[in-house]
Amino acid sequence: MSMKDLCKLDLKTSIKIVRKMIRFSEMNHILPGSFAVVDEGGHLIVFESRDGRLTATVDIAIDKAWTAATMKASGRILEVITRGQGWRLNVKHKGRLTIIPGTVPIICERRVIGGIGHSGGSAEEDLLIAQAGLAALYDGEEAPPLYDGREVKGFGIEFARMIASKAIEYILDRGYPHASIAVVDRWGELIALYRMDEAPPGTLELARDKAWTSAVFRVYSEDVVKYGCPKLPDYGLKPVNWNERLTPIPGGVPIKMGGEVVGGLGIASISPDIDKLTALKAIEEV
Amino acid sequence: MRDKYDVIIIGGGVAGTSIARELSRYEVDTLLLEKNSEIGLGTTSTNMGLVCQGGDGSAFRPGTLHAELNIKSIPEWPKIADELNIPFKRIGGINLIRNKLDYGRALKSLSRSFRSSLEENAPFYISEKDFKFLQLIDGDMVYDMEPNLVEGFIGGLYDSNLAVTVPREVAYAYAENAKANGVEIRLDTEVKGVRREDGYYILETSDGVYRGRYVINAAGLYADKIADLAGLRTFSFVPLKGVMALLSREVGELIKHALVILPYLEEIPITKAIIPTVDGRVILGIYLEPSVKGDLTYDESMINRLIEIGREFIGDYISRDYIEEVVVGQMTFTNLETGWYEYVVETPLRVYNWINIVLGPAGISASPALAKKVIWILNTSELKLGMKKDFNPRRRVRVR
Repeated sequence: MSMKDLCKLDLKTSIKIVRKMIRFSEMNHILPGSFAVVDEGGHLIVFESRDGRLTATVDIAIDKAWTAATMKASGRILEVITRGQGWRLNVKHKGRLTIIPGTVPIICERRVIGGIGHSGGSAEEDLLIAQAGLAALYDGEEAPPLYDGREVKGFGIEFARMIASKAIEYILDRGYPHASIAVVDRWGELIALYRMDEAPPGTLELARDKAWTSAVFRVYSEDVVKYGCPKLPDYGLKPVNWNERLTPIPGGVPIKMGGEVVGGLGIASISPDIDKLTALKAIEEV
Repeated sequence: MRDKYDVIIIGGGVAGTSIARELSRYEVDTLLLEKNSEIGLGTTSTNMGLVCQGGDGSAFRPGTLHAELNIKSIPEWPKIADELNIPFKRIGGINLIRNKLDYGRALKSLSRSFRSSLEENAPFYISEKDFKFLQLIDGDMVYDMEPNLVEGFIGGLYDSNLAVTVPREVAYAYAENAKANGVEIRLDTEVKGVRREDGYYILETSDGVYRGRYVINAAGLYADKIADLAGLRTFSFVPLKGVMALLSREVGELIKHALVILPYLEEIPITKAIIPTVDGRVILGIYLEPSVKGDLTYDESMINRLIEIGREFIGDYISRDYIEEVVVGQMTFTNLETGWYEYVVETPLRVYNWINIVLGPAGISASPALAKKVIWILNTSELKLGMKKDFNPRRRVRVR
């Protein structure tokens, strides 16, 4: 593989990076955590978390990766150059800037092409795992498939991979516009998120919002208006602090197992109706 | 061929062979496995051949294993070179100073090297008779020592300890001496799988199955792969590709010392160095770039960059025509994202009989102390290391 191909940080490569990090984490018996890979602009390409992760690690991992990509430096360097006062910078960025080890920029051809973040272990463990991700970019091995066809027991990361791979297959098969695919648990917390190569970064949060809405309201995302009052503007469902992810755009579908909602699937591309179709199809297949 | 070994070393580079040689002093059955058909073809062959580095405080951050092993190795080198008949030439080195920025960095190097070596209570003290202290020298003295340098240098940091050797020759010498003292060496044997059974590691290789109580993973660029097979990886590294040019003797006559210009921050990871070899030629380098494992390609732009670097030292004396050979290789580089590379010599948690080793820059230089460190680790385990009575430290001189 030439360096040129390598420096395009696409979905396939990002999946490889995340898988290697997960493998490293399991090998060293580190607590289950969250793993994020972002592009040069700090937008997620792949997010995965191990089963049993602390839900708070989800956003820490994403923010670490964002910090690495946008500051173009490792958390360890930032710690040194801000002399332990890095938290002050957080005020500027609404708390996003995360100057904690486990924040590693992806370096390729002498420039930063993205960022890796892991949260879940101690600072040292986080750093080791993030470094394992960086090393994975260069190990010259084939990228693994998103879902390798193994049997899935219960709802978890393996289930999320399976359902996402079905959705991606369906989109590619039909030639639909590329989308972001998010899977959340029943509390609306992210389990996995994949952005297809040509999906614009804006679809990321849309997909996550749709999945959140369908999972916590236990309905299709557009049906959330049923919870509101038609006489009020916006059905009285203004996204405020506690529910800022609330969205009535179609494309979010609750995932049911044994009659109970266990999570949500959100797909976002340029056409919400196709998103809903894809989501239903993917859920139907699994 | 035995069925079981006390220690199996994976990898016949300078790390593996130096440990094999040190182990051959003791009554243990040792086996060394090498994937290639020759010793030292991997990261070892990419080394620039500098040894006895200890003064270069800019790269040797105090408190790291990297600094410890290199500094502890300084007193060992003359002895080892004599015993094993390795080419060894003390040439001395100068870190050139162009401006105030360089001067500040040189002062920092000076204080760091002092901290990590000569102070009585330094973490790894070596005595003054083994280590000559670094000197700050002024511009006149620099041009006295190196009359062919281009103008513009205002001084330098002189390290009189620095020596050069031939990296692969070192690995050969270690291996030959180890073999003469009873270590088995199997070439063309690639480890394909690792299992644990009855207190032994079972190594499935391309040439049969070997059992060892202790395994030392010194596989260089493939150390992570081997550790992955065993499920005992505690480290990661990125392969850093280095491109160096070997210049002819005409240029070699112009240079007497190993010369280094500290690169500016935006130029990193390039290292600017011009180093005389043992045989009178010159190594110019080094263009560095992280790359995919096994990628040994180079292009015109890299060579041009090397020539530019050379011109910063001796001006127009350097041109394309003097390049005899372009050497491309990869080395293991940990902590790429910060640049604070570090060696790995450790046993993974919960396991006491597996040692992972990753060297990096200046690995040849660190090899004597590395071997001693590994013996120290093995000594703390339940392996009984009894001295061998008929150990012969000298290598028979061989004409190749």
